[in-house]
Amino acid sequence: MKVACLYFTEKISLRPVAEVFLRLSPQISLGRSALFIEIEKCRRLYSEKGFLARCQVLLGRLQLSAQIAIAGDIAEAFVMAKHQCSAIDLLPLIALVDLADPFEKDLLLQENVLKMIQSFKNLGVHSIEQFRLIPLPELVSRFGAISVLCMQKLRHEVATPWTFFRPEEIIFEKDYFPFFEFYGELEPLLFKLKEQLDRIFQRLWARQLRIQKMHVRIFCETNSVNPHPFRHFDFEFVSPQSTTKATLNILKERLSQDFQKNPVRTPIEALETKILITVPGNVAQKNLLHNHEEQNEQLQALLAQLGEAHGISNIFHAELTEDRRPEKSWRKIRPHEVEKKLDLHGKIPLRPTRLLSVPIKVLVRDAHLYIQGRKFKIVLWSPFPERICGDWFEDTSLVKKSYARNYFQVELERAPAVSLYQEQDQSPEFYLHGYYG
Amino acid sequence: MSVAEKLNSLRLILGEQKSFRKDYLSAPGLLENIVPQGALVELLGSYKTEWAVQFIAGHPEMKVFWAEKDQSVLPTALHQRGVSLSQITFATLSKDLVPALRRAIQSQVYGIVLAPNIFEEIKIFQAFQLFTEKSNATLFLFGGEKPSTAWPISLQLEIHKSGFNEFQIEILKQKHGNHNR
Repeated sequence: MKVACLYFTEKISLRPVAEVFLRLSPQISLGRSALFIEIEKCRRLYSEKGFLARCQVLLGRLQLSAQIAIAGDIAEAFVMAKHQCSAIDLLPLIALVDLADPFEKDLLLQENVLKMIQSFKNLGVHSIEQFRLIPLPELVSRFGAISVLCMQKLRHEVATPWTFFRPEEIIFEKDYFPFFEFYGELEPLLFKLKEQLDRIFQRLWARQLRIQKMHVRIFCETNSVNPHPFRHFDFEFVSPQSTTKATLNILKERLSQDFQKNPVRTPIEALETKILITVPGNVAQKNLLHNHEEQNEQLQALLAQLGEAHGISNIFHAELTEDRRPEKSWRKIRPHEVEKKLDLHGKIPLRPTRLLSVPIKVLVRDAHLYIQGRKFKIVLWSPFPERICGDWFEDTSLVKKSYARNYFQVELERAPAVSLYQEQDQSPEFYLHGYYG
Repeated sequence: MSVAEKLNSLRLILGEQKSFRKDYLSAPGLLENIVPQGALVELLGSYKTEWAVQFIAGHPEMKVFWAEKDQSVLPTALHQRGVSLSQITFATLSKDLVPALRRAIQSQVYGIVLAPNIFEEIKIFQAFQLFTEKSNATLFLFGGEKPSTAWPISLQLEIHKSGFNEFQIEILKQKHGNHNR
């Protein structure tokens, strides 16, 4: 076993830090002021030197500093990290407390070890080197089991049980604002939201995950002025998000719309961000030879923002279908979806470039076409119609009607060619469905 | 020099990324390349959409952002005219078009942006001119019956049909010279 210990001199919450370090090893244990990482099994991934460099990068990102040491077991690594020494024997006897309880959680044990240390000091034993020289039978008879435990830990004869750290299942960040800092303005709230997203993305990055769906809640002070004190926002992203900048832009879009429609009338008490759905996503190193990855990221961010502002269904890519009706001959797909390839070349007549959403009834009379009162001279009428019919098997009164249309291409004088159809053979009623041009 | 700038300059040396120099694109029905990159182009006439579709088909390497107030362009027709549908992002923007177009242009993802010319204020055209110039994208505006008088528009083409699948193009306005002449 090879254990790295990161000892933090400042009091901080170690759980989020541990989540970030999951990137380096899945075997992590938490003490009160130290983080233990098993690195022996990851020796093929990085060397000790590489590990230390990665630790410094991660700590820099978290704006933290730690004393780091690598040793053969948890207790030794903790003592070396805490006291910043290369050999345990040089340390004073007080280091036995850390050796006996590296997780700093057993207060009774610490108290007993301290009593034992005091006795040793009275006897003239001041360093661990001196302690190591005492024969074990003498220790047992005078100081009992605790002294044996300390000696065994010094001699690496007993291993400290490894308590596994499990990251929280739900990623969740909440900030309270007890001093009513925010009063209806979006910008400072976005600033706080950015901080929360930064923390969330650090945690997700360690787990190699991206956000697919998230939930933001704003808690306003409840009083008679504000009928809706709680605001809930669900965000389901077009493409999974991995950066604060892109995500914040999407959130900003929705929040600014909401704040404009329903101004916040009471102070904001809390802000909560919860991740509902994540998907696997590894953030790889950027390619030196091209910027396709950045472009793709930019594209996804843009589509997500546009989707948020104008509706996801209004920003789309198109895919062809096998339906021959012009309006049904394609369907919307999400921009990141893979298009099903169909080749229609030579299989159907050339379709008009513009299609009317609702066909217009037109009049054909005396070699002229009347569209909404405007008269156009017909230059050329396609000799054969294109017959499109289908859904005859569903032609019941309960389901929808079948369709049967005869399409004609009509060239007009001083106007683009048009696509007309009639619903029954020899019917005098024609409908304008689209135009070429 | 920042990391991004260093990376960009290295990519320029390696030749993957084009430098932001004004270039002219080939276009159907025109003997010379007069359609500038990074500029505003207004299309008029009865066959403007057909021309635009053929223009896109001639530049399969460029991503296209096609914005409309209501969806009227038929993707099936685009496919029949040789356009790859994966190349185009369609946007039905019933609300204000300007912010969406601004984002699409500024993203530097799309080389061709198409939109109806429903703008009147000169400052909007001016903004589009600046954005397109910076991102090297060409913004095609589908005009109405009369050409726009907005000065930031670089090129105005009036397109009609002359024969079978041929265009009769009149250049109403051309502000930029063609370096390929």
